[in-house]
Amino acid sequence: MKFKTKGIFQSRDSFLIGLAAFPLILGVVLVSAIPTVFAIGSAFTDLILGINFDWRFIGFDNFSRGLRNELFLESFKIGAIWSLSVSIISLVLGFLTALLVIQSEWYSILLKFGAMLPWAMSPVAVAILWQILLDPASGPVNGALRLLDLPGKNLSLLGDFNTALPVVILIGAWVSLPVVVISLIASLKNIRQELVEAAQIDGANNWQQIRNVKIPHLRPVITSLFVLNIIWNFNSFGLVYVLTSGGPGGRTYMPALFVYHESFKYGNLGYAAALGSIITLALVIVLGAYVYLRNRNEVVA
Amino acid sequence: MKLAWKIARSIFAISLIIFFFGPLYWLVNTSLKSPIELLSDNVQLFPKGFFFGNYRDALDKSGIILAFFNSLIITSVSTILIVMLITAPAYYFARRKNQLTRSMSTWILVSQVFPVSLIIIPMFLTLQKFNLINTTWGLILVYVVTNTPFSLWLLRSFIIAIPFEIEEAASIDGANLWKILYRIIAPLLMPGFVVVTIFTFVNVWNEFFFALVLLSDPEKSTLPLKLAQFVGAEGRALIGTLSAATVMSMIPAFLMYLLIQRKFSENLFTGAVKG
Amino acid sequence: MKSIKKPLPRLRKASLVFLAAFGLIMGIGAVPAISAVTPITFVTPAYLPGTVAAFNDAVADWNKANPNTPVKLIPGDWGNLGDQLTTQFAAGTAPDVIHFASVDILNFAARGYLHDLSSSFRGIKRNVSDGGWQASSYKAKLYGVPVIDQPYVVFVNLDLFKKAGIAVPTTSLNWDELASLAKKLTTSTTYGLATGLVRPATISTIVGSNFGAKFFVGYTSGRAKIRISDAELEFPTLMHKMVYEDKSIDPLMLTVSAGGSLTNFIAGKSAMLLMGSYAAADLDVAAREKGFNWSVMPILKGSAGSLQAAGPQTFSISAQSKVKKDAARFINFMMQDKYLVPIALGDGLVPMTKTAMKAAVEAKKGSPGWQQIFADGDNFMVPNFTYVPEFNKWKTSVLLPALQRYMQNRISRSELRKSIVDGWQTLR
Repeated sequence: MKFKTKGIFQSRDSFLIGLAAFPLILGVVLVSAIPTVFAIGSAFTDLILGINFDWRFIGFDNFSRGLRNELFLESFKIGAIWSLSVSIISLVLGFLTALLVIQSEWYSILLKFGAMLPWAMSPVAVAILWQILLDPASGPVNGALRLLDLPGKNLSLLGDFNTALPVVILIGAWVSLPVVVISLIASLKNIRQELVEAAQIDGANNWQQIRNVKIPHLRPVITSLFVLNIIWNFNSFGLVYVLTSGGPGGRTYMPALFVYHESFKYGNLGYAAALGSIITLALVIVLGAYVYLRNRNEVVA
Repeated sequence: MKLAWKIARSIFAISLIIFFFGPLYWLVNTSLKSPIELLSDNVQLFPKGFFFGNYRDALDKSGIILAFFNSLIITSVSTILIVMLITAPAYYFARRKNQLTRSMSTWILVSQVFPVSLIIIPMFLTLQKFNLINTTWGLILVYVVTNTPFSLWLLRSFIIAIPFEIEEAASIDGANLWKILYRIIAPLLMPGFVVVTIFTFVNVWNEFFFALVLLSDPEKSTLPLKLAQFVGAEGRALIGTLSAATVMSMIPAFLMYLLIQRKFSENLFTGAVKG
Repeated sequence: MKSIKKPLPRLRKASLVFLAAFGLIMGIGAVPAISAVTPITFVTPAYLPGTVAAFNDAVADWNKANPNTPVKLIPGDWGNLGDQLTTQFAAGTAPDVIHFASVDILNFAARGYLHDLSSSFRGIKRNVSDGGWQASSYKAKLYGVPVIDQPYVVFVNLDLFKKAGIAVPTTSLNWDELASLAKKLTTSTTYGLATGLVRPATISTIVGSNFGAKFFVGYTSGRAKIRISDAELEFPTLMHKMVYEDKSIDPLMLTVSAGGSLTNFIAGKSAMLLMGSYAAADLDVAAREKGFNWSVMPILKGSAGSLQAAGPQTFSISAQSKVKKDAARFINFMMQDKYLVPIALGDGLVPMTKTAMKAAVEAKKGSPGWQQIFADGDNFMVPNFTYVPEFNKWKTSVLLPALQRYMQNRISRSELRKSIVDGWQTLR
């Protein structure tokens, strides 16, 4: 799409926009840009938070130490599994929920309301609530498992090696659902009625309508949601931390948790910054590759 | 065949409803249990009586109502500021393609990806130089800045969806940029504004980490911070009181949602039909 | 176009109302609570009602007696106080008096953020056991006044003991005797012992002293060396045996923390409970509401005695505080029996001063369980890991996952030893 804006945007307008945006730009520089630059810079030093701690430049030492740390590298695997799974599950469930909401059946209002519920709860409350739900003795989840005589009925699902990560992923999906559902409902509603009707006239049944009209239209929204969710979730360790402290046995220990521990618990700012930069770089590379591939495919198509 | 599908859909809908509402039910259930019930070893689907002590304790806890109002003010102000401040930049971002917009894209990406734990300490030190530590305005500033990237990106995508011909036509008719923006584009952007408002409001309302670090006066505390104070060492918590406090804190969110969502469905539809 | 014009007047009215409310609230937030005098800031993560009330009383009484040096109480929470302090120390805005725990302040002390208290509390020092005192020290300097601590004790269900026809021991058992007692108490419907084993690192390091476990040696000369011999692994090995071989511990315990073991015990599913003394507060509730009959065994002893490593809660003063003298006076004020006792009882812990301990024993005269807890609480020794600043880091990132893998049978005992030692090497 060519931007034939010459007629509308005069240089004076651009300047005025800049002026109007100035306070915002100032804030961003102060609160976001400067700290980020500082953080990245400190990655090349041995800065430790403390009184009377000198620091000096140590080049890439922190980086190599991080890349040699097996636990850290291992955590990337867990982080990838976590963010991918949460993203996929919340997208699938969210899409189905949105479809059901659009249909204006008896359950639609309920679902629309229910999908927003995780948003109404503070993260502290979410974590504690799910711990209560998953209590092996008094929690309804284990109660249901006992009723159906499924394995794990007498174990704490958050404390067992095999079930900790899957359960934590499910909770992560529960928390991510509102964003997905609300975006998809908005997009679904924006599909032009005419396209849907045309498909109906052509004799397509419900399922074909979904496949051929709705999904293609939703593609951009779904992809962005997918990618965004992965990014957000990769770095969000707060929920998992409260639920499992990264355990058991490191089964739910994610890269961002490393950064948090090193910087906050032990004050090793330099090392933490290096770890954080490695994480950022990895994510940017993965994203960049994805965007590149997608653009290539679009050109071909 | 159609009936089978209908039943399947209903069953699936019911499972989803349980998935969403189940936790809420359990929260209310827990909030009405007495201390001895909370020590029980069995799944109690219903509280034995209606024990309101937890609600009493939650309200007694000094400052929770004040914290609620603090949260409300901070969240509303931040949200309003963001919507006001990003409209023009978002338009620029959507309609132009130059080095500046490319840097904006990069910045948006990096800011979402860079771990928060790293930024907090230098940010704290920077804010301290401007005496913004432990102030409501300092926190609002942080919220506005941290929510700008995503909101910009969101609003931009809504603007892109508006066909450029409309602006072209208006400019031919002699309107300047600002008239176009506020008279023509803004009304069409209602759904976009609503979405940005909702996202920002929820993100700021529930935000914990920045508030924790930037506020130390109990009078300025936000709601998430107050809720965290019901949790003790090694994850033990005053479960009954915390549940009661959470239930109460969800009520305004419900109300807000009910208010917004009517406007939400109306405007979206208008946009769709017009488009 | 009509829809654009209509909302505007409504919007304007709404904005006016909003601005007014906004100004009001901002005003409330902006006006400082106390006038010209700079208060002594005191942060405490206390959250249980009894303890919170005790602190409120102490602050109120102090403010009445010292109107020129008022104290402002800032509530914190256990999970996040460390993070708050980290940023506040970095910027120099930390509170003057800090209530926290010895294991948590160790790292802050090593980085110079805490004021050396050695000279300000000589009076209290005579009143406190050596173990507790040194637990809150770093490099021989005191950084936290020990306030309260908890021993790990064995609670017993009197009714289940009666049903099994076994008398409650009146002398200290050793751990093997505990294991055989648990086996005797295990029936088809109940287990012998309950104890939360999902995060066994803390209890292992604390009761390990019973077996002479040191975990680290050579720290006085500077470079700490790790030592994982049989003594260090004795506790996890015994627990492992009781779960998998003796079957006297419910396998559920491998995945739950102390809270889960407590409810299990109260429900009568296990005859004994090994847990921190703080369970007593909830057991009192169970006794009152359900007629639950509980008591406490004399403290367990191992081959090296019955001492447990101390890990008290502490009061510290920030090194950046401008009112250090007054802060010290306030801490001395809080350490009086009349505040220390309700603080201890509110949390279910044992006060660290001898006089407060005596007063607490008096206060809980009617409860044999509590009496035994106080007796058990006289067994604290210096934890040697206060000499190792990386101890906490090693405990959470090396010891804990390794123990978890061992307890859930993913690695063998020899692999456990190896991974703990190797993990320490990679940390340095």
